[in-house]
Amino acid sequence: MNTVEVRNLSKVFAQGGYKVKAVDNVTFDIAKGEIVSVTGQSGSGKTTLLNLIGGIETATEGSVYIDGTDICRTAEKELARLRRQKIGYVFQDFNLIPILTVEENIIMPLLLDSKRVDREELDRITRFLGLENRLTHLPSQLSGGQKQRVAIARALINHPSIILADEPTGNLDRAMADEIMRLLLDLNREGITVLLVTHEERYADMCPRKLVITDGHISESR
Amino acid sequence: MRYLLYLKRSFRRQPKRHLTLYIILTCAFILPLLISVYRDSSAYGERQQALDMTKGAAFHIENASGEDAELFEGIDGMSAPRYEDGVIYLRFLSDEDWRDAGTVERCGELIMERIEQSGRTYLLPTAYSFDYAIESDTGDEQTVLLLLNIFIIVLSSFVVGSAYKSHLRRFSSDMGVLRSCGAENRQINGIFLTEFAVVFALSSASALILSAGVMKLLFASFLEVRDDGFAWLIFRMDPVNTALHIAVFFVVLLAVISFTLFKFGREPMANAARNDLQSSEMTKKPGKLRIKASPERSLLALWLRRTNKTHRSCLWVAVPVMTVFLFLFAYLSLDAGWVSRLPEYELTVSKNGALGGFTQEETASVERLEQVREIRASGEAQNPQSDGIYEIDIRLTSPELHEEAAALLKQLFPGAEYEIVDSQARAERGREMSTGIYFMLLFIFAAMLGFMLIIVYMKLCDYIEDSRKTIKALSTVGASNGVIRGSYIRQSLVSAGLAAALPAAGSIALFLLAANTAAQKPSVSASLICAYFAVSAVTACAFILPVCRSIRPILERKESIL
Ligand SMILES: Nc1ncnc2c1ncn2[C@@H]1O[C@H](COP(=O)(O)OP(=O)(O)O)[C@@H](O)[C@H]1O
Ligand SMILES: [Mg+2]
Repeated sequence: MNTVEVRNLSKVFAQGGYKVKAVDNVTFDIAKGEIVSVTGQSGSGKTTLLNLIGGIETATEGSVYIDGTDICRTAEKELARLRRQKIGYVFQDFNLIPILTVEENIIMPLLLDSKRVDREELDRITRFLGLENRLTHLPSQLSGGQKQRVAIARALINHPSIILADEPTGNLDRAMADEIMRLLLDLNREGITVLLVTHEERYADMCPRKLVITDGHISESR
Repeated sequence: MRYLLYLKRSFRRQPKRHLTLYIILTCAFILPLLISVYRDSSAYGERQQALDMTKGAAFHIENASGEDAELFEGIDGMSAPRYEDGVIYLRFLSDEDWRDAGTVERCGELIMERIEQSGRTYLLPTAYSFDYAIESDTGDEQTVLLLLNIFIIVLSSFVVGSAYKSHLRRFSSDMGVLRSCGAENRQINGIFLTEFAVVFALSSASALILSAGVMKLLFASFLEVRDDGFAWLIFRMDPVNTALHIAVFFVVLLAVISFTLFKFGREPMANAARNDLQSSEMTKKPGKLRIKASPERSLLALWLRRTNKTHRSCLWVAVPVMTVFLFLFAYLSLDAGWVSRLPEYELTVSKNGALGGFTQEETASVERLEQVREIRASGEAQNPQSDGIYEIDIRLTSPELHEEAAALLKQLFPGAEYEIVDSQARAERGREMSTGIYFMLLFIFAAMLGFMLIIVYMKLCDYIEDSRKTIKALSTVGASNGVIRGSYIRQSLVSAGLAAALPAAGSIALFLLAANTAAQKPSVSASLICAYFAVSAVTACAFILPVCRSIRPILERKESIL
């Protein structure tokens, strides 16, 4: 079974009289353990597609299956559970909670499940991401690269089926961006499925499979 | 000028905020203005009562006839005696003499001397001091009211100031942008101070019209007193007093706001422009994050530990307002109940002691009246040395007959040495007045409650707005809408519970203290309990509604904020 199956997915934004078809009849699969890049120009619908797969936005038409569950036909509460247990999300603007320390941000998905923290697991992840000395810092005390690593740690803590990364390098300088990219590739090598949205060809080229989105239409590029 | 235009535009975008400020200021004004009107009215009433009683004369000689007047002619420094309705009036020619206690005493002795020498001892002289008759000395009650007013003004200035602060914070990123493109603090402050001046002028005018109108109405229908046996109360609004109140309010508020602006002006630009409102509001020493049995509870514990500052400041407004409300409600209803309690004996006739008590014949004639059920001669007990009856309490066959009976008594005892007190009429008047007092209280607390509710509402809406980033992050990490809303509503419920419980405890303590001092039996009426629950419910709504209202668009329009 594929981790993600997208079938005839469309999203129309209707705003003030005119409509924008941000995602237009998209169909593709992502197999377990794959790393797939999605490239496209600004405004081509990359974020919208990712939000639809992540259950943050509701589709106008079509379906998205995550591990066989159609998330477009799932109630809000169930969708939230899916987001915290099956999907790890990494955003361009980090999306950390400003009032929580690094450690607390990382374990937030566990808190929402009322699960105990497995210290060993937490130590392993933070060491892997080089955050072990930053656990008590607030996000405002971190550099951009560190913030993004916290976001990745948070995405990993619940062992998700897939990591959705929306331009994770967009707000970082070259060295930090390279480092984050390397991290994602390392994670994939450990067996984690990754869907990476980027507008930088350089990073897209590092992925074995590339998708290109143009005005909401998707095409396979190899 | 460019900056001005910029801010003007950003002002226009948020008309609700200005409206909120206007309402807050207006409500804050009403209470001190009402107290000021009440104070002016009571001072004016007292003054009119004294004038009415003394008629500008230092000596009143009662129980007199026209022929007695000549006896008091030619007293040094005094006018010729004037006779009217069984009373001879003597006044000083100069106020200086009247003001001097020595002169008054000397003249008084002279008058007594003349009465004794002439043997007309039935004459009853009374002296009025200048202070009492002419000078409007401010009584203790007046001073207390003035102090109370100043206290209220200062207190509400701080509350208004804090509301103003959050208003200004909404524009802090605008301010940062302006400053980074070269606007001086002076120009920015000028804009906000102009705004303040306009809002202040509008709200003070509205509050003035509102409180004057309501008080005028209340006085016309309930509160005006010109009856004997009560302190007079006549509607009056002293322009100087009123202007003074407004000026004090303006100065205190201006100071608070200038200080806030000054502080904003010194904030580093990056800080102001970053607009990361929430983490700057965070408690300095955060407690530990604990994972509880349900996510709502974990989040609630987190909010209570880290982001409860706004709630606390809301409680600082809500708890005192509620406490004062409940206390005054309880106390005044006790007081009003006492004033308007129906008397056991509806009428009392008393006789001036210098001329001996009531005769057997007189007492009997009272008892013979058909309206009279029972009498009680009470003079002896009060005045053990005397041998007569000086006071007769009368119980009527039916309380409605009090006016009729009083008129008959007046015929029986026409002389000035007799006094007839209609306690029934007084109690009925008291009842009527207590209705007026309830209405006034209702108005005052409508204003105070409005003030409190809108501040709490505004602050909590801002709180949720400021939590946008946290809410958004939580939602993407997998918190359901129900969990997020639930945790914030729980936080509000905790505050609402405190806002209901603390005032109840506080006002009970105050009330017991006051009842103890006044040596009255404290009692809890059904109306008090109803008022308590009604106000608590409204307060709870003020804590919960803004959360529900502000959180919905954030949760529903998720896509537009991601
Ligand atoms: N909430 C929204 N409301 C209306 N239009 C939107 C909304 N979000 C995105 N769009 C439109 O959808 C299109 C795709 O946007 P997006 O997915 O953000 O593109 P990308 O991430 O590739 O830059 C754009 O034309 C954008 O204007
Ligand atoms: Mg995008």
